[in-house]
Amino acid sequence: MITEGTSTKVSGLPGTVEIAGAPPYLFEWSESAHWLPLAITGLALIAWIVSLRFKRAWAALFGFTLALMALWTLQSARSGLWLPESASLIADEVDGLFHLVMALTSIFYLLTQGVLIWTLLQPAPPGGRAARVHGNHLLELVWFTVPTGLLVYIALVQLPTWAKMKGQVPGAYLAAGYQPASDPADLLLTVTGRQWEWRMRYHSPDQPMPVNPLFWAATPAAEDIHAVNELHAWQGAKVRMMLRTTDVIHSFFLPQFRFKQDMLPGKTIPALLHTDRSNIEADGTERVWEIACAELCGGNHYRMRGKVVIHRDKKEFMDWLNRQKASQSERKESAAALPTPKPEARENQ
Amino acid sequence: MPSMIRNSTKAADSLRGCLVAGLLCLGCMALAGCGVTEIPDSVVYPLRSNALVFLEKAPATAPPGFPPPGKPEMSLDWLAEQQVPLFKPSDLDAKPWGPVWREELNSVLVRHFGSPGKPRVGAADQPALATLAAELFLSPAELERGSHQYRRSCLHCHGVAGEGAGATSAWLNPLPRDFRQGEYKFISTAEHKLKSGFQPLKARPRRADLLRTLHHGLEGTSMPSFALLAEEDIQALASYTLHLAIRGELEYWGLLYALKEDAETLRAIEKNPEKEAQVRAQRLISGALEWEDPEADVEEFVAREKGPLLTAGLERLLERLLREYATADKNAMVPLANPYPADQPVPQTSIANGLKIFQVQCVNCHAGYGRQSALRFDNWGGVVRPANLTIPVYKGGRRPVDLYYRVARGIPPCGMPKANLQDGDPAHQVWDLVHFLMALPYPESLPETIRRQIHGGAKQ
Amino acid sequence: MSHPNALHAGHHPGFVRTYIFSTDHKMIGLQYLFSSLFFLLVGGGLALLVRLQVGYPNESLGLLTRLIPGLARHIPESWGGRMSPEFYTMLFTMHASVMIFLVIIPWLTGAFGNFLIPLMIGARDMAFPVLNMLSYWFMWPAFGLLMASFFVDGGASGVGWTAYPTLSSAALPDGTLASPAARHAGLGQTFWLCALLFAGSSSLMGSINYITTVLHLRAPGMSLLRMPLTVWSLFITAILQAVALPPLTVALIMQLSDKVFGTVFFLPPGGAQFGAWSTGAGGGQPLLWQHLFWFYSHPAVYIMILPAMGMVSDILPVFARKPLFGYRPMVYSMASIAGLGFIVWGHHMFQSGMDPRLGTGFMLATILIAVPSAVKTFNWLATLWGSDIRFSAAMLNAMGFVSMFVIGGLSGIFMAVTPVDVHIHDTYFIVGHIHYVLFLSSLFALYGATHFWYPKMFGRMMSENVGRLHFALTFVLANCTFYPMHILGIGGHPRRYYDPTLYEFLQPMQSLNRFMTISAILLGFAQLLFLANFFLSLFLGKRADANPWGANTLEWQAPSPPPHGNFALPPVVVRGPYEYGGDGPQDHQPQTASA
Repeated sequence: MITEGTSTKVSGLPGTVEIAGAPPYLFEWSESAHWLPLAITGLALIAWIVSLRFKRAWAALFGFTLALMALWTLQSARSGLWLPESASLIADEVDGLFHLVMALTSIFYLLTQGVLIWTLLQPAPPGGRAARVHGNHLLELVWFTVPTGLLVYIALVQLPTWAKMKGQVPGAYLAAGYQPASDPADLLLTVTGRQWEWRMRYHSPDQPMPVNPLFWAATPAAEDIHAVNELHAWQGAKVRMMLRTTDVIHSFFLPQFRFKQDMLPGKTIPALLHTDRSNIEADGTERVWEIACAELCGGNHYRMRGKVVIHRDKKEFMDWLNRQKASQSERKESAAALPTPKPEARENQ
Repeated sequence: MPSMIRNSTKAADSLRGCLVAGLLCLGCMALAGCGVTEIPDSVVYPLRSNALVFLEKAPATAPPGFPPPGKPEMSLDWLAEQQVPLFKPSDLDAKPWGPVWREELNSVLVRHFGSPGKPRVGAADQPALATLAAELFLSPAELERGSHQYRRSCLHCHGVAGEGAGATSAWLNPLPRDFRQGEYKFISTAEHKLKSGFQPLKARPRRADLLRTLHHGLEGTSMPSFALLAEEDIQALASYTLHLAIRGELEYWGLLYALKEDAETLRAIEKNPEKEAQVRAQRLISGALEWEDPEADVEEFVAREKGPLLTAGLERLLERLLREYATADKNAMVPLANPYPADQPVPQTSIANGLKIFQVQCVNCHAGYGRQSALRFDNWGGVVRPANLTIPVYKGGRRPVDLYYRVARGIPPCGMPKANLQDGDPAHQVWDLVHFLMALPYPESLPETIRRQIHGGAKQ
Repeated sequence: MSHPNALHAGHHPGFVRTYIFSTDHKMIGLQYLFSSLFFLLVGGGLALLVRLQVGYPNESLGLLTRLIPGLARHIPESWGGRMSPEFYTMLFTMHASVMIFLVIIPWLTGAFGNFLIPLMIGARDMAFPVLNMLSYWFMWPAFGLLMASFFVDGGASGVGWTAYPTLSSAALPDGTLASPAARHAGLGQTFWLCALLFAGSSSLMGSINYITTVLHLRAPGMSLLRMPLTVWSLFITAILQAVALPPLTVALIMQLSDKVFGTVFFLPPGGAQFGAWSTGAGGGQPLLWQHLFWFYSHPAVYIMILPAMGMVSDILPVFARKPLFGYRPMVYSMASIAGLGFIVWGHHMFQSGMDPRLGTGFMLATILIAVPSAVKTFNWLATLWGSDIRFSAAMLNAMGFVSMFVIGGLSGIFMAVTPVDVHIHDTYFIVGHIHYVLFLSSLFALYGATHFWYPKMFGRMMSENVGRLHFALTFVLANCTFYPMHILGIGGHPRRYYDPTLYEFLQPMQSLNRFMTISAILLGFAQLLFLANFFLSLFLGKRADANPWGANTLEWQAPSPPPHGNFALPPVVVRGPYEYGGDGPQDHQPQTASA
């Protein structure tokens, strides 16, 4: 059931695409093998047949389901089908909280399921009659206070992270009371969602930072540098993104940054992105970090795909920005910008 | 203890259960087996059924307002109200030779273009066409890749045959392009010059123009950027789009020549009323021949031709179209050098001169700098709005050279003429206009007096 | 043995008054039950189409069009057997709308609320029988409008069941009914809004009726704290509905008038641009809808789970032959869930652009609401502890509820941790969570309750063995279908995606998506077992006597099925509902004195 392969096959229209480096998963799924759900169905059937004679078989059904989920969760985490790669310190903090909650809830889940299954396996009480017990104050008190304590702990432990992400503390990524004057950002851009793409507009680094970035977000300047579906920054940059939309609600989702923010029609939402890690390898190849839309925005909602490139340093980023600027101010057709491939080259494919 | 809760051990019960589960499994397998990635052979390109629009001279303006969402065809009714003739392919049925004509047209299209599952350009037994197709990267393998990608990325707007009427299309404005007329808005080639004749003079896009649109999308329309697809897929999409455009245009002319009622054709038919089909096919042939050789002798060609006349004509036309596309790069417009240095800010005088040219050349359509543009019909029978130039949204690209192309060659399919610059240095004039257009949306870039005039007094 | 009481003697209404325009609470309950079962099929079919598209986004679904010719319009062969993305949005929108508004809520509160409340409190009928009839017949315009919307211009609504403006509300200044925002946001959405107005009015009438009935028509001796938990839960639900529905109604009318009359409640001052379309200037605020909508729809989640909790609390003691553990804590926890349920709606909006400081308050309330849910779970487990469990189909489904509600509750804690919610918001994690609460919890409770009260409704028993088989298959397959959704969500798989394989980071998840699709198809087939069991048992089921399970509550003292007027003599209640087990002569002591 568990494969050792390091690639996962995905069938797309142009035939089967091999994704190199994809983590191994519970099973290798091929076109003809739809047997696993059938096998699980078979197990349920067997449990039912056995239960016709031994009613405790129902405990096995609950136990089997519990085991399936546990196996699934552990194997997912082990094989990398889990939280996406983390791209910032805040993302690490979010992951820490996630795993804390995961651990606490798992304990509770195993506890309750354990009690349930254990109860099912118990022999009938003596004489076939259970005691007529209506409750127990002490027990009620225990299982009121213990969860309350844990939940309050969860509520408190997350507050600093939330404040860092969205609160009033300096550098919060979505300051509730945004102060243009004290903006710590070193890169400013607007991201405008529309059906169905992201239009990026970078503030030109040659120009002084605008006095009021919120105003700049609504009034383009001639020096701005434009891009579609591509968010570029450099490692260590604090990126101020002004999120806008022209038509419906979109949600700007960067999985690697654990970042998600709706764009509201009629509003400019300032958000700060900490870019602590780069997705450019030492050899210059790029790990793909994608942008997705997380709020239904019409039929082609799924098409709002973009990519994030966090360059290794500011110079690399400026190279990209200057290239972008140069191609945007072309006064004559440059041969390099849009090469028409040579026929020989095309035929070799 | 209640009697109903008993654990029955009857074998019959378990047997029944197995039977039910077996049926479940069968049903599931039947459904799971439906994953077939191939496009079945039964899928063919539909022959055009909607009305053909042929605007020799577009009506000046359209009624205010676009057709409401879901009713794009309403603009055709508006055209009909303005006495513009529309050619309905169904009218062919009324003519005695119509069904034969249609069948012949269809067989030519199938032979030379295949089906969505197996697209090609040029039948294998015609090496001349195959060579041209190869030059345009229209090999069957490339087209098949393009067809698959098209089905995934484009079809829901542009439709199976590139008719611009996919499931999503009716709710978009501007409408997705109908490729089947072989007309393009945002390209960089000059128009052909023909001495005479009935053929409209169409500019063909360079491959680079198509790739630019695929890479950057058309800002301000619903055409998104496809830059994140694999480069091979983008190339294949450009090829497949050409395939659809050429197929569609051949179909367009094949139908239009059967239906069009221009004076010369009517005269020829009057002379020989019982041979209407032949007369119309000959008109098509003369159109096809004219491009390469204006003096070509149609009579001689017809005399030489042994097979069906329409087929021969369409194949000549196909060759002509392929040649036009293949030579598009040669027809590329070379922008005049910008007389102002690139490393210095644009002088305010240039912008002021641009405004003067704008007020003569452009203001008729782009009223109030495009804020109050009146709507117009385009060559597809749709309604377009001359751009609002006070907001920095440029459908055809925001590079200065893109604006240069728009100004210097116009956008003929939607009635935008090229700027008519007569006196003075043309390089200065065109670039002045471009500089003005580039500064127009940004109040800070405009000279004080002009800013007042356009954006009101307040300086932000 | 059944003779009507004096009041109803000689009262023989005709066919129409008995089966169609009936004012008898039992018949109305059954009417709700049958329509819910029908829409369960419709909603399930829509869900399977959604799953097929997600599992096989680039493959031909052509076989389906051969099985169901009506689909050929939406899955054309010329597209290589693919459906259009717009059609897909319509499928998941209508799946959610049908399941929530036409299946779960009517089945829980309409069918069981109507059938059980008067019987369980020893009343002859509802307080307002005609209003009760009206509340059922107000559902029919909702049924009709939602079904008709599939066939109108543009198709049924495709803007998600949450119907966020401006996607749902955008309209053109010329008053065109088609929306500039999307193909499936025009007339279909207008129909959807009207349908919800009718369904909401129906619920409101029902809830007024339930509140009055519970407060005024209890049998002598039936004090509030002797009521079975089913009645308590339906009573609390009715209060929730009565308070939460008016804001939703207001919101629906506002959106309707935005669409039809050109008002701008949800359109921002700058309006919205859709390519060359422009809506013209607005002056409203899209966020307003989200507040109004979730002010109803979060309590609606509790409307969909509280009655399930109540019914499970009644089923467990009967088959464990042991009193319910902690009756009062159960009542108090339901009441506090209902109370807290009104101040947590903002947790749907942490990413909406709402002031993040508000988020903290909503987070605290959301965290606290987990406490009463935990208390209830422990009480159910303590009820089972040391008992002699009878594994009937009803009991199995109730235990399935207890087991699965834990997952639904615990996965909710992830969302209450706001920084984590930023990541999992609007991903499949949320889809998994809501299905664990609504499918694996509410639906299991409904299946259990249907098995349990079927003999009372029809005087016949459902097949126990088929019922147990149905449970085994459903339990396992539902977990196969919905548990992997959590894993996809953790990986960042956004919900409502037509073709996830477009994204490189989602491609490794596609095998799981397929696994879920196959499981969902099997799960769908397994539900046919339940439907077959239900309908065949109407004619073939074993005859049931008045109290086949040996249960204590009042409805089991009436004949099966109860006659018009329910009880031969008004019952007198002398004890609580959960006196099972113990050392007495009988292992249960009914609530009435006579036993």
